[in-house]
Amino acid sequence: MTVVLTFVLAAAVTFAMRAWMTVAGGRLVESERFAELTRLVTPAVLAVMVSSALLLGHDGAARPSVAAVVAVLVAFLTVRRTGNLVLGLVVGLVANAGLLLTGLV
Amino acid sequence: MSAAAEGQLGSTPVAAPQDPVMLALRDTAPFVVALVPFGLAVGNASVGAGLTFAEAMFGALIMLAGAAQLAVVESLGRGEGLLATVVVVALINLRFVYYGAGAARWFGRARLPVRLLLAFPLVDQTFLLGEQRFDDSVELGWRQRYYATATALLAGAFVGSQVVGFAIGGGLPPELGLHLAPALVFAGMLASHLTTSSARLAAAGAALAVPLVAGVAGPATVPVAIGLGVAVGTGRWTR
Repeated sequence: MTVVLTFVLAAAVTFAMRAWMTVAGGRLVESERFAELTRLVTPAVLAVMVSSALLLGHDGAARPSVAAVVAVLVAFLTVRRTGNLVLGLVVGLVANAGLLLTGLV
Repeated sequence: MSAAAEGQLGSTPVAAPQDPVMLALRDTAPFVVALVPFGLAVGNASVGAGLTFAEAMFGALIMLAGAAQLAVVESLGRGEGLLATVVVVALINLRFVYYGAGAARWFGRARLPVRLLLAFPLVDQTFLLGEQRFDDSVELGWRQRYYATATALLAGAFVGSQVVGFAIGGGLPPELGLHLAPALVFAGMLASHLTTSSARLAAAGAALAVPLVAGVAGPATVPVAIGLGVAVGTGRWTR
């Protein structure tokens, strides 16, 4: 019962976060200034997702794996050059596995 | 053929192509690949926390939020209190307020019950895809079909991989690097979003903020870092 209740409350809080702007955003979400701000959210979110995957452990900031950093850079540069996300993912995974298996890092 | 019709996620907003379902399938595929290892990890963690299969699946379906679900599972495994767990979930999911602003804009012409329904499965991936594809010229029906397709794929992959992770109940070889898949996809997307100096500043500020604020912000690190990145990007930080 505790497990179900915890999930229900967690889901309620999560939905409130998602729906808040839909219910209360009003004219704010239509304004050009707000649109300008939200355009910057996308690169910020992406950078934070990458950075937190590399630099955060369970207890805060952690030293990143060299292989992981190289893999992310390789994926970034691959997509930058080709525009192909799947290719970036595959090349990044291969770079990570190659570095770990050959013991280069 | 336009960039959109070819399914390339580029940096330039594109006009709506003919078939939103096919385009959503193509756009979402890399995210689906990247979601699978995460789903396996959450399923595996549910076993470790002592959850039943029904409890784990209930949590997956009612939340549709991977990081927060993992936090709940770990909290349950450690026997932490209900209030503490819910507060952590709120902090982790604070970024959904930003995403909700996007959804409110995309679906603003729909009826409120529909908008609320569409807000329910909003996650990192659907926010990023929507921002990329929902140009002002794209009509509401097209947006809804694209969004519903992407959501169905992502939710199916995430819940399905949790089922597998729960069944396996053991770890995968670390050399596969599957835990890195989401970061690789996000890095790839970032590569095509750094088109203006403001965007580059926002990204750099946000990335640097993560290790700097992690010790203070704890589970709120992600939304705080996003907020700081946006502040840097707009120049407000230096004024």
